[in-house]
Amino acid sequence: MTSEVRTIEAGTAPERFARGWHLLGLTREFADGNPHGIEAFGTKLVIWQGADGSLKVLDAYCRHMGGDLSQGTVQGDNVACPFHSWRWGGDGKCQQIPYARRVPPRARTRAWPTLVVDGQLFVWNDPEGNPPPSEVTIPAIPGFDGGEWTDWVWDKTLVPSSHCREVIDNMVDMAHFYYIHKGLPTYFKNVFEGHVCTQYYAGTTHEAAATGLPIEIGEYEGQQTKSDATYYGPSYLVDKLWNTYGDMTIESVLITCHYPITNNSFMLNYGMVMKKLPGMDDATNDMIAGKMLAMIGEGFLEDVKIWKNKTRIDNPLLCEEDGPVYQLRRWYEQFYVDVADITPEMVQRFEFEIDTTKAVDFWQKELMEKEAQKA
Amino acid sequence: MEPVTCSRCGTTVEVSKASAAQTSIQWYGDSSSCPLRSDLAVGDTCPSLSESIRDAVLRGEVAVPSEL
Repeated sequence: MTSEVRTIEAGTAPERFARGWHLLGLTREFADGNPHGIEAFGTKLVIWQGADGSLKVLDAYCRHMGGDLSQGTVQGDNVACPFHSWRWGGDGKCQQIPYARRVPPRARTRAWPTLVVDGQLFVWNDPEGNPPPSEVTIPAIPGFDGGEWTDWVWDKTLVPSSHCREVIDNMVDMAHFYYIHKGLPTYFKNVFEGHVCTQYYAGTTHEAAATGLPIEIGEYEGQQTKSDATYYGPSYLVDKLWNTYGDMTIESVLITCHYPITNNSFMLNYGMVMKKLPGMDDATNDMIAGKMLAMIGEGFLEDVKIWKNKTRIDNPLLCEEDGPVYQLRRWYEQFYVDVADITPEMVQRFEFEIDTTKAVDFWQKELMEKEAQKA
Repeated sequence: MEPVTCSRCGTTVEVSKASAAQTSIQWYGDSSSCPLRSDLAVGDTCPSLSESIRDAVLRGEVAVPSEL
């Protein structure tokens, strides 16, 4: 008799980039009258604000002689290449060549469809070149402009040697919240349907995650977290968070999103707005939101450390307490095939609730033992 | 997975359970066949369907593995 050894199938990352809206950053990063360069989708993009006030995104490499438009200047509504000053409009057409009598016909580069929602800039990627359908748009945060939320606090982290499927996998990964993020999930459920994927999470925190908040928050052991997190498309996660400390609840919306740089690297963007706490001025509210985001950022760095050192794995070996990794990847696959090749299995509704009984029981015991050792 | 039909709208889904607290639900076709869907949050399970699943478990139509 031979005992069979499980082997890892690493597979290969897809060549193409996911179809969907991808956040490039906050509009305030780009609205300073200068062209900005971003490495993304296997190339480089240039982003600038025209005199008309709108943000425009083109391929950065000038179709004339390959100059980098993000090193150029903004001229009116156009961006001028630093190499020969060819002027490109936001629609991708060459508008002017100052030293030439006429612009060659068909002088057109790739213009990226853009979307601005609540101060965030998105571009639409579609390997088939189709325009964005209206039903996959990015939702706005209710009351964003009404003064009840803080302004964005925002940060980003480069993930240098992983495909962005790694960050998607976290959506169903109940146990990593304990081992990586100092959480103790007590409730965990996923739902996939269409282009949307949701994680419902409730739990407590097992370390002083609230350290440093400049407010009285009671004992950290009492912290409760409730989170409804939804991906709209392949890269933009809206996480409605309620963190309760004693009798105070902090409500926030955490955005976690990414754009691919190559098919083995991506830029993680994360930002937060917090519902302003009563009796505190805006500066204090902004500071609390900033501290919360900094703690979340530390958590992402823990993810990145895992990703940098792990292998890609197409055939994960799962136990019952793991979430529906294969169904999640089936859902995610829809963004990497032509629209005509999307199968019903990729988009039909699927619901999966994890039984956390055994996990919670074990983790609570483990934490109590750790506490007892400290004492 | 075992088929379960919602007693309210007649939509049939497939259900499996790995334990009393674990449930997987695979829908087919369009979930808008559920009349309550549009009033529910995207992640919420339809309460009528949940009830029908509970009934199916009680009738033994959806097996629940015994606790280890």
